[in-house]
Amino acid sequence: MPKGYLIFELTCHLPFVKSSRPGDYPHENWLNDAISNTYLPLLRTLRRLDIKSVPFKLTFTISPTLASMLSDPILQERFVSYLDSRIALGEKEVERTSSEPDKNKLAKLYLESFLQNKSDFIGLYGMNLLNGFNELQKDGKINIITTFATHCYLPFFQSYTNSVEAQIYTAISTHNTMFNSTPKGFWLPELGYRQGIEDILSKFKIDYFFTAIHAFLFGSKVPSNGIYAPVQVGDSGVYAFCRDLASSMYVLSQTEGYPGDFSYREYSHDISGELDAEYLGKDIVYPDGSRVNSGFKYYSNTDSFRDAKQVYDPGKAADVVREHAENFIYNLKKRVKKLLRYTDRPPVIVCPYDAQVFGHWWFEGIDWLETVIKELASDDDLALIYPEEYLVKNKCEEKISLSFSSCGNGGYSGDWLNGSNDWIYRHIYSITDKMTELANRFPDEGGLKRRALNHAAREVLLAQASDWPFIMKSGIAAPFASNQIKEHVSSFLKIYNDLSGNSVDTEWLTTIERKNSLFPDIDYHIFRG
Amino acid sequence: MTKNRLQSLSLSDLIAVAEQQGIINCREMEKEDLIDSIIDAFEESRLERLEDDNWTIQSMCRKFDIFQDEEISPEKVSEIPDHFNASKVEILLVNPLMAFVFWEYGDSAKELAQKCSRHNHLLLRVHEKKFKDGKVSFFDIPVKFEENKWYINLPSNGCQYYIELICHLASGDKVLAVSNKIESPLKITRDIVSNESMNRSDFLVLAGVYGFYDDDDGSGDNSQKIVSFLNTGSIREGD
Repeated sequence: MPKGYLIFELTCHLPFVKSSRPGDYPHENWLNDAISNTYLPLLRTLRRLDIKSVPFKLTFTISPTLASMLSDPILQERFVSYLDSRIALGEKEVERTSSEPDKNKLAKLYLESFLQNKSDFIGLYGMNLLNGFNELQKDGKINIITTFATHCYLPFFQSYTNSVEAQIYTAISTHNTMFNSTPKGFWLPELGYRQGIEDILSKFKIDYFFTAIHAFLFGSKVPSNGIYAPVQVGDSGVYAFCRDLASSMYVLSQTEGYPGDFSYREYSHDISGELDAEYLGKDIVYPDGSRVNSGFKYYSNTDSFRDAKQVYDPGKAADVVREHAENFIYNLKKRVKKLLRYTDRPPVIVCPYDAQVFGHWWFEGIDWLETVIKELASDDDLALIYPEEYLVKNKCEEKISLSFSSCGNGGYSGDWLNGSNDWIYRHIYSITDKMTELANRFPDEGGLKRRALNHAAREVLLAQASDWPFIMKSGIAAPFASNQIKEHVSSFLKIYNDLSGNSVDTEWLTTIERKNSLFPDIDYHIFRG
Repeated sequence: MTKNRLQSLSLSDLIAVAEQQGIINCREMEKEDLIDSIIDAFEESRLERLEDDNWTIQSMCRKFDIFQDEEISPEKVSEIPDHFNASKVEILLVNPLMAFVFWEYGDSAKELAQKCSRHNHLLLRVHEKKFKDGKVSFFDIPVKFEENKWYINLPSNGCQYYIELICHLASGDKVLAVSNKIESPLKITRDIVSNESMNRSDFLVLAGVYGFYDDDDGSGDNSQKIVSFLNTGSIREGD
């Protein structure tokens, strides 16, 4: 029996972005980059492990907005165009770098990877990556859980219980449709916790969720096993697992963690920032001058003590990947050994990461994960486990009340509420209230009015996404984020005003339904007070 | 803001943007230099913000990278109303010691307030109820008629707070709106070192910060910086 357990939770989430016309704005590339850099290579790795009969157990949160985009035929077509543009650029890059052997080798490697992605995407998954995730879940290799429908930041919706329930109801119903399963676990976006959510999750038969460490440490009492065993949250019957901070640092920190190693590929140095627009093409340089990742990056992380940038060497990086995987397991085993002196059961170390850390930002991250999984497969002391499996194996009867917390700067809500984004909340709350008013005012509508009401509910949920205030604060793509909120508020208000005037603008409604085409089965009654 | 967009601005507009960004001697610069300085200043401020972020936040930022940020053209910007003609006050907890309050009041309440108020302001009455002893108190913050939001330093953690938006009338105070209630948590990061339920080294092991934690008190001045625990850590865990 292992002395300790490890939960890998990989969060797959992006906000819903779909322009009316292809190339309208560059932000659709967030999805394309995620598929190309993370999800396709990750699925490829997991399939390879499966074929080699290497055991693994990974918990994936796939957000309803991401799942909706992955299964959207229009966005699937646009992803193929994205790959075609990278393949065309790759062919040019192979030629352009022909006099520089090291760069040329990399250009060929990237071109090969885009070609492989296209082949997998079309041939293996029929353009829908959810098929890949579903297959792995069916075989018990991964466990997929859900999160709020549009990834709202819970602490700001504490007073809006029916809206929180609408988010959960829509999430679970989308999950049932997309994954043909009922999620047992729930990811609280940004690990944002407020007291009371456990009772709501319990109503939806959710067994567990995850928190930041101060939720545990500053709760009603410090749990006897610290953060290394789940606790029952009050009398709700729902369990909370706690994130391990040190494991986060190894993987997430550029300065103190593995990804900053000088042998690894540098994330930010992309040819899209260097070459002229005509060469790069309109899929990388947009008419307004915005440039997106091309995927062609030739340098390794800069050593601040050296002047010249080094060309990336994948062979050298592969050696370091092995070292870092061994170091990760070494540190965790050492921790388990120490923890066993304090805990009354095998400790569980919870490692939740945004999936896009692997492959997208930390290029070698997927190889690292693969090596860790292989090492663990033959390790007697440490094993991967699913949260629900740990709960079955270990009785966790200790009950505590948790404390307000998040993974944001300072541990609270400042990233989602500050001078750059505080204006949005009066609008979001106002349309949330008005949606409840509509749901009560129109208890049993059918036909066109029902369509309008359902779409109004969709717009309210979309406006509640935590991504937009976060992006506004980060300063990257802030005008776009700000306009997304305005669009959702304005679309909702148009429906609200139309319905108040007893009319519906059918043409407009059809257009906006096509654009924001997620949650096809949404039922506006979920907002009834 | 793109280079193209900046090039379309007049020199006086560019100077105004440059001054906002704290660029010195901007009035003496040529237009092209001014544009380059503004772009550099935007990038610098973006990088500074990124450096201030913890690892999790930094990793999230990288999902939303655009190499050169765009500006939404005015015809694409959706218009939304400034207010909703409702009397309302709402309070949100930013962290255990700070809250954000926003409010608005309907046209009739506005007319009443502006015509009949005995003062040239409204009041935010902040009600506080301590968890420990149930002691109730309040304090007032005067706000101008044209204001609609405020950040409030909360005097203590471990309390329930709510707010009344009040107008002084000759006949007495009129409450225009009452907010939701928020609870600031009882314990915050600085309490970690005064934990009496177990000895400190045991606590640090179980909190997952053993080996990453210097021997000083570590709580720092800022009670909310829980992630600062690891700032002095090394990749190899301590024995």
